[in-house]
Formats: sequence, structure tokens, C-alpha cells
Amino acid sequence: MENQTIDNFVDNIDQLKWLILVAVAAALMIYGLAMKKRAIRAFASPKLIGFLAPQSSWARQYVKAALAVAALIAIVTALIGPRWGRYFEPVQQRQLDLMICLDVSKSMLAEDAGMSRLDRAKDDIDRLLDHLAGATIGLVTFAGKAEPACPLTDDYEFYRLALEEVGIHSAPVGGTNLGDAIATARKAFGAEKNRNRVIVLMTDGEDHGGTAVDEAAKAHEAGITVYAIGIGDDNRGALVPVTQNGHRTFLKYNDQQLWSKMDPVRLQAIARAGGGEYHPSGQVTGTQRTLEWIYQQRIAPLQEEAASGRRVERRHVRFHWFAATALALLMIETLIGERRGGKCPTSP
Amino acid sequence: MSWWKSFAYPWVLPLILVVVPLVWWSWLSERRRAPIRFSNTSRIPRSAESWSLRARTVLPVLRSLALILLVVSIARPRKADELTRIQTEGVAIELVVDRSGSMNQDDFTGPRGRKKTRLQAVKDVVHGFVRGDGRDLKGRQGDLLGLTVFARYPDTECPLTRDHDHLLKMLDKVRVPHGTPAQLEQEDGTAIGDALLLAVERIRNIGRRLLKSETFKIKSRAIILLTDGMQNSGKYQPTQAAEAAKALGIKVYTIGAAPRFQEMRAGPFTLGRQRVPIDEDSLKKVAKMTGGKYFRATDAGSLAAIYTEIDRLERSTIDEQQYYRYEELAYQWIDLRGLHLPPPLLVALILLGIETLLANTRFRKIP
Repeated sequence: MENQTIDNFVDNIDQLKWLILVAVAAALMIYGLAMKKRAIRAFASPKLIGFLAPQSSWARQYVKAALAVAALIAIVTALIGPRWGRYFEPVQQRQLDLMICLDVSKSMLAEDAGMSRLDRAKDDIDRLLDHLAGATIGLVTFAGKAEPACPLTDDYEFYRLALEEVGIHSAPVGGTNLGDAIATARKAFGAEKNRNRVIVLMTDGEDHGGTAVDEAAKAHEAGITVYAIGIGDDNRGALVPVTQNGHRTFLKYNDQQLWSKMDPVRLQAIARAGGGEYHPSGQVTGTQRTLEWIYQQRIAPLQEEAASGRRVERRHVRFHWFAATALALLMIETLIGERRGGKCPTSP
Repeated sequence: MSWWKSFAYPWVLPLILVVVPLVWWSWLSERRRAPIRFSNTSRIPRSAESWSLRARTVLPVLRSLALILLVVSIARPRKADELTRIQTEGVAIELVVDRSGSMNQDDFTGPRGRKKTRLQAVKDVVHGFVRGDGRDLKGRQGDLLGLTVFARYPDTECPLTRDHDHLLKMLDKVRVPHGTPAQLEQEDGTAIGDALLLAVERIRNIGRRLLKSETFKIKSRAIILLTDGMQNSGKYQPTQAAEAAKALGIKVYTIGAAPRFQEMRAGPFTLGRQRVPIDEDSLKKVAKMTGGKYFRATDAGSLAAIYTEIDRLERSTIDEQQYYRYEELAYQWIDLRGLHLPPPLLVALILLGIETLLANTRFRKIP
């Protein structure tokens, strides 16, 4: 397994620009010393100065200036964040949080392939649970409004029970609002940042909300990947059976029987905005249906990428050595008096 | 998190106590040494110490500040990179709450003497338990919590999850059985044993899954069972369920929540008082068998104290989570409470620059 290198020899090379400040400081010190010399010369002759102020020493002042400049250079060196010396850091596995948004609007009752779309979707989710490992899974049901049916949990047995109870009655408000579904799912994810987060929309795509693409983009920005699975026939569509007055008829809109068709275009747009993929629901391989396939081929590999045992190569931080050097130099500079030690000799 | 843990080498910080006094000692002793000898200074009028002289003290101030910042930088202040902070250990607690009809009696006194229903008192205390109440309860962030309620039959309202918002929402929705007497007949009752068994199953389900997990270890499993009465329905006895809990290493804390006496009512008339029948023996046995504890709550205050004690007993001692990556703050810009602060090393550099500027221009000392 490849080891990733994170650090370079220097963290912020652009901080070298502060050397300009050091240069300015050095210039100031030279200027200051020159000015002092001039003022003293104006005050008295050099011989007299030697007598009047026997303790002042130019040598010391030069040394102090040099120490100060060296200290400033050391600080700038620390600022650029030097690193050397390699070591390895283990990478922890990220846990997967998978939120399924299930459409429970009336159109999901349409029986495209023998089963109602809703039953087919529930069956797909049930099969996914057999393959899920090391992930928490949650469920949001939605029609006109979204309802959290099951929070993110490791209790897959409870999830199955909650799933069984899902039906058209699960969402009280009619219609289909995909945007609300995505937003509700997003809220269910916790605050912990280091997790893989995925939303899977299972719907026939008819959207009356209009905010879905925006919500998917927002979710993606928050680190969530949004996949979409289209359920139902997108060609002819299917009639939606309902029970009215005890009779089984088909749903009518404006007195005409409603053919519910799956709308892939919108779902593709949503998945694109969410950084995921769109797939129509079907039998993908001999044993896998779309949801399982997406999990095995797209989502589970993300887990393996961060599997334990993987290491990251790093370089040790060293700036504090330079900061310590600067401190030492400045302390010496402070303690060197500008005047030589000892009491002021009294006049003879 | 204690502030000193934000430093890689906190033991460096006491250097400040050495460095700063040295700066001032040097400054003051410099002033004492006479720069110029003069035979007689009595002739020089004592001019009032000019502003400039007093203002010169800004130089050692700047130097001290710069050195303090240097020491702080050497101690390596750092921030845990949020992206890599993972909670690796936690506690799994299943809350089991009685919602039988008797829980609707408002004979629990709240903190200001207000009367609450027993059920409402429980809801309030559990809110504080889960979220923290700003005083003794710190909240159970990162722990797995679940909710099972029971009357005649037990129901899991919320599976074990970290989504505590959802759990509290489901808790708020809990009601005592209501409806026609026939419906009440069907729904009302107190099935403690069955509820306890269902709670055990909830914990067992996730336990199996997380047993081999490397990302999250369940440090302790517990059930907090609260009831205000005696078992009068259900298939299993509480002690039978406790056997199952014990086998899985689940501690059961039992709470008998009811005042000592309740009023006997017949319609609007109060006939008198009777002792509230709680099966304390059974509850005590369940707690003892599983290594938990039994409590009796007679009002909202004692109920709160009980949950506080359980909170303490079941605290996962991992307050420091394992950080995998740190950000060095000494040479990076720091975002603190909405402010964008420059790195300490840079500030030190600038302070020294200002000190150099002043010492060589305005506050030049001659010689």
C-alpha cells in the first residue's frame, strides 16, 4: 500500500518576505549607531569622552546589534516552518454513514414490473442490509414533506422493522419534494467530521419542490455524496392503483388515468450536483440489484481506501529550535550592558 | 480540554518567569550606572523628567512581550485538526421509560414547587441527561443512546444512535395510552420484564456488529429502566430479563419513580392517601444481578439527582480523544472566535522591529 507524504521541508516558504523587516531593522541599527557617534562627537572630543564616559563601549554595541539581527533572522527561519526527519503516522479508518431517502408518494404505488415501486425499493434496501458492514444506516421517507423514519444506527434489525412499516401513509403531505428529502437527510448527519457520508435517493423522480439540485449541491459542499436511483419505467410509465370506496381503480388526474413515468433527467442533474451518480433501478448483475451494486462498486471502496494499516509519512516540526535560538540570542543581548560593568570610578 | 494540553511542551512556559524579570533587571541596572561623570551636578537644574524618558520604558515592555511570545512559541501551541479527530470509545445506553396511564398523574413537584406529571418530569430530566443541563450534567455527546417505552407492550421508539436530536424528538412524542376504555384495556399496563428484554435485544444487536470494530469501542453497556408501578402484564418477569442482561454484561440501573403516597381519587373526590405500589424488591434484584443500582425518585429533584449519579457512573473516561493530526499555531494564522489572529512568532518579530525602530530613533540613548 502506498504511503502518502504530507510534509515538505518548509511549510510556508513565502514567509521569507519578513527578511525585509530584518534588513530594515539592521539598517536602523546602523543608522542609530551613526547618529550616536555624530552626537557624541558634537558633545566632546574623543579623548574627553573616554574620560567622561569610561564605561561606554562601542564594541559592545556592535555585538548587541549583531546578536539582535541574528535573533531576528532565527525568528524568520522559524516562521517559514522548517521540517526534517521522517516519521510515520497511522491513518484511522473512517466510518460510513449512509442515509437512504425513500419516496413514499402515491406514484410509488405504480406497478411497473409486477411489484409496486415502493415494495421493490424496500426489497432492494433489505438486500443491501445483508452486505453492509461497519456502517450506520438511516432512513428518511418523503412525499410532499420529509420525515426521518430511522436515525443513523448500527441496529440493522431495528432498521428492518422500521422499513417494513414504511408505506404511503408514512408521509402525511402529498406530492413529491426531493429537496426537502435531501435537506432532512443532511440534518441527520452528526457533527463529527471524519466520516464518509452518503445519501441515496430512491424515487421515481417526479419533483414538485424544485430545490433538489441546490440541496444536493449544498450537501456536496458539506462533504456528502448524493446518489440517485430511479425507480420505475421511464418509457411508458405505469398506472397508479388506488383503493377508492373499497374498489381497486387507478389514480386519475383531471378525469384521465395518470400514467406515472420515471424522470431520469432531473435525477441525473441532482446526482451530478451531489458529486454522485444516477442509475435506473434494475438487475445489474446476476445477483446484484442497483442499490447493492452502487454500494459494492462505489461506496464500499471508499472504506477500503482508509483501511487500517495504512500509514502516512510525515516530517518532524523543527521551528521551535530556531525560536529557542532567537530567545537565547536575545537574552544574551539583553544581559550585555552597553556599558562595562563595575561601579563608576570616582574621580581621583 | 485543559488549556495546557494545547501545548506540546507546556513545561517550557515557566521560562517566562525567568526571562521577563531578567529584562527588567537589566533595564533598571542599566539606568543606575551613570553614563557620564561630572564633577558637580548640583549646577544642572533638575529638569522635570521629560516625557521622553518615561516613555522609554516602552522599550523593555516591547522586549518583554516579544520574549513572552517567543517562549509561548517554543512551547509549541497546537490545535487538533478537526478532520482527524475521532471518538474511539463510548458508552451504549438504552433508556427504558414507563408510559402506563399512572405516569400521567401530576404528583411530581418540580424545582419551583410546580406540579408536573410523572412522565413530563422524566422527559425533562432525560433532556438534561442527553444534552447536558449546564450544571452537573455534561451531556452524552458521542455516546450511543436508544429509547424504548412500554405500557402493556414495549416499543422501541429510537434505536441506539448518535443522533440525539432524533431521540429527544421521539421522547417528546411519547404519550400515555388514551382513547376509549376498550382501547385503554388493550394498551395500558406495565410490562417491565418484556420492556427490559427488548432493551437487551437492542444492545445485543449493535454489540455484535461493533465487537470487531476498530473505529469505535463500546466501553460499557447500560440500561436505565424507569417505572412507577408493579408489573401487571407481559410474558417475562423482570428477573428473567435481567438474566439475559447479565449474560451480555449489560448493567441495569432501575429507578422507581413515584412519590411515597398518592391520592386515591374517585372522580373529583379525594378519598384519601395510599402508598404507591412499586415492586422495589424486583427492581432491586434486577440492579444487583447485573451490577447496576436501584434508585427511588419521589419528586423531580431526586429524579434529576439520580440521573446525574448514573451519568457519573457511566462516563467514558475518554475525554481526550485520539488526535491524529495537529496544526502548529506558532507560525500559522489562528482563527479564534471569529477573529483572524496573526501567528505569535510574527507578532514577536514585529514587536522587536518596533523596539529597534524606537531605540534607534526617538529613544536613542547617548552614548
